[in-house]
Order: sequence, then structure tokens, then C-alpha cells
Amino acid sequence: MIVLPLAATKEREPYHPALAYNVIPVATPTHDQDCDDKQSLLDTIMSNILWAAVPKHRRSPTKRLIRRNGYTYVRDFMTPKKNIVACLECGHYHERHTICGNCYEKVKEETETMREAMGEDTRLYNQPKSEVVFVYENEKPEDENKFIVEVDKPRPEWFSHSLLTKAKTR
Amino acid sequence: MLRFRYRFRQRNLPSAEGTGSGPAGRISKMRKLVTALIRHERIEGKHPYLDEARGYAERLIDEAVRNGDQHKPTMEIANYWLLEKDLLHKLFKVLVPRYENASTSYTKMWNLPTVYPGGGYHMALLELRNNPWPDVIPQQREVKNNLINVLIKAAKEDHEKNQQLTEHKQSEFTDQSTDTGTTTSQSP
Repeated sequence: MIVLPLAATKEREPYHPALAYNVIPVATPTHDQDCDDKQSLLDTIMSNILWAAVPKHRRSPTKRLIRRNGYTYVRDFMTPKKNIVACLECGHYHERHTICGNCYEKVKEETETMREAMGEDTRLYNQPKSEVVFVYENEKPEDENKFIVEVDKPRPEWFSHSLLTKAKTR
Repeated sequence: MLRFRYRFRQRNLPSAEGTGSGPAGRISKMRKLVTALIRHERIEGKHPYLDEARGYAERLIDEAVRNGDQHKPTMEIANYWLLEKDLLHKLFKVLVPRYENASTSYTKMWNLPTVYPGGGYHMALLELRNNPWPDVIPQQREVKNNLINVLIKAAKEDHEKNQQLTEHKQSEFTDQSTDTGTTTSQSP
């Protein structure tokens, strides 16, 4: 709606309404906002530079050497172990919480021969349905109902007799 | 009922069967280890894996011992955990009679000696009790007559004797002092 001025009318009114538009007035840019958009010369130059990471503190020689050579490896392998004991049976050294490696090697070897005597088919595919008993040379099985495996060699003596006999009795 | 010291929380073992195998890989690995243990009765491996499989094996044997082979759920559990089916017979016909009256755990675990430089793993040995293989640690010899033990025993006896003597002397001394104390207090 357009309201015309009333100048044409003969009787002029002392206060006439101002011009009005049939649209909502939009806020126009003000003087203050123009000032904010302006950048200083220094900012325009510096904005194009990519900031690189640089060390903030000096690295001490200790830190530098630890970083290069490592610390955990040194600690694990070069500090003396205090948990090493001698095996009561064979005298070989081993760590306190582990079993003796030398004794276990013998057990492993013997176990391997026993496994071979048992046979691959029995061991891997048809497990016996009763307890397994290993019978060495010159031995008789106690219970005939059990699954008997014969080993073609005398029963191993883990320790020599000379170790067990006293010196006086010789 | 587990009769050994076990971990409160399970190990997730994220790379049990290669990286990214996840929980399914873990369970698959556990089944393989339990099957191997029941078959061979003594297995070697990485400590955390065996320690984890130990609980499952113990539980499986325990269920079999308590419920027998006529119990359907127990049979299903055994069928799930034993991948090779000839071991079902072994579980119910060999292991159940063996552990019927057991008062200890059904399995045993040992730490294997560390190898240097090694693969960075603690290796272990897991075995069923009363298995047919030779003992991991042979029966200990009698060390009573070793020279050091004889000397220590003699020193101990000496020490005890001396202690008794000193105690006797001290008691005599204290008796005298109390007597004198009473006499002095009564005199005035």
C-alpha cells in the first residue's frame, strides 16, 4: 500500500505521515562494522605463514642419551639378576620361579621316546579308553586292564648310584 | 569349583589368532588349547594363554566328574570344548575315574626357564595331574646329611642350649632382686 502525500489537498494538515514502503526494512551496514573488517598490514602478511613446531625446552644430555639408546632394554638385560639359584639335582643355574632347564631337557627326551613307542595313531586319533601304562624292559605290568605301551629299553635312571651312596660305605 | 589361584578378570587376548581376531578368536584358541591338553596331557606355550585355558579345562573336567556322561548339558559342554571327538570317551572313561576323589586341582602349571634373548614371552608348561609321563621335577633327594645342613643343625642346637642357660640365669637373678626389694620395704 502506498500512501500518497497530501500536498495536493487544499487544506494542508500540520503533521502528515512520512513515506512508507510495503517491505520490511533491512538493517544496512553501519560505520562501525566497516571499521572491523579492515585488517592491519601485519596481519595480512602473517596469516599466510604456517607455524612450525619448535622445541620449547633444552634437552639435557641424560634425556638425549636415554632417548637414543633406550632405557628398558638396558634395565632388562644389563642389571644383575638376584633370583638365580642352583638346581638341587644337577647343579645347573636357573631362575627361582622357573624349573631347571637341564633337568627338563632329560624329561623332554624321555617323553619323546615314550610318545614314539605309543604310536601316532593311538596318540593323535584314537586315544585309549583306559589309563596308559608304560612298561620298560624287564618289567611286568601291574594291572592288565590298563592300556599297556611297551618301550624297548631299560627304565632310565635319572641319577647315578654313586651320588646316592655315602662315601664311608665304599 | 576351581581349586587353584586364578585371575579375577579374563584376559581379552585380542590377537589370539592373528591381529584383530577378537573375542571369537580368543574362544577358538581356548578350545584348541583345552583339546590339546586333554589329548597330550602336557603342553607348552605362552604363559597367559595357558593360564587362561587352564580355567576352562578345570571347569570342563569338574562338570564331567560331578554330573557324569548321562547329563545332557554336560555332554553338550564337552562336545563344544573338545574339537576332536575321540576325546569325549577319554574325558568320561579315563579322566573322571582318575579325579573322582581328588582334593586338589586337576591341572598343574610350571614356568619354563627363560631363554635369552627370547621372543619376549614367558613360556609355561600346563599338565594334567597323575599323567603317564615322567615327572617334571623328579623326587627330591634327602639333603639332611649335606655338610651345610649338618653344620646348621649343630649351630641351631648350640644356640638353643645357650638360650636356655641364659634364661635360667636371668630367672635366678630376678628372684633375688624381688626378695631384696621386699625386705627393704618391710624394714622401716
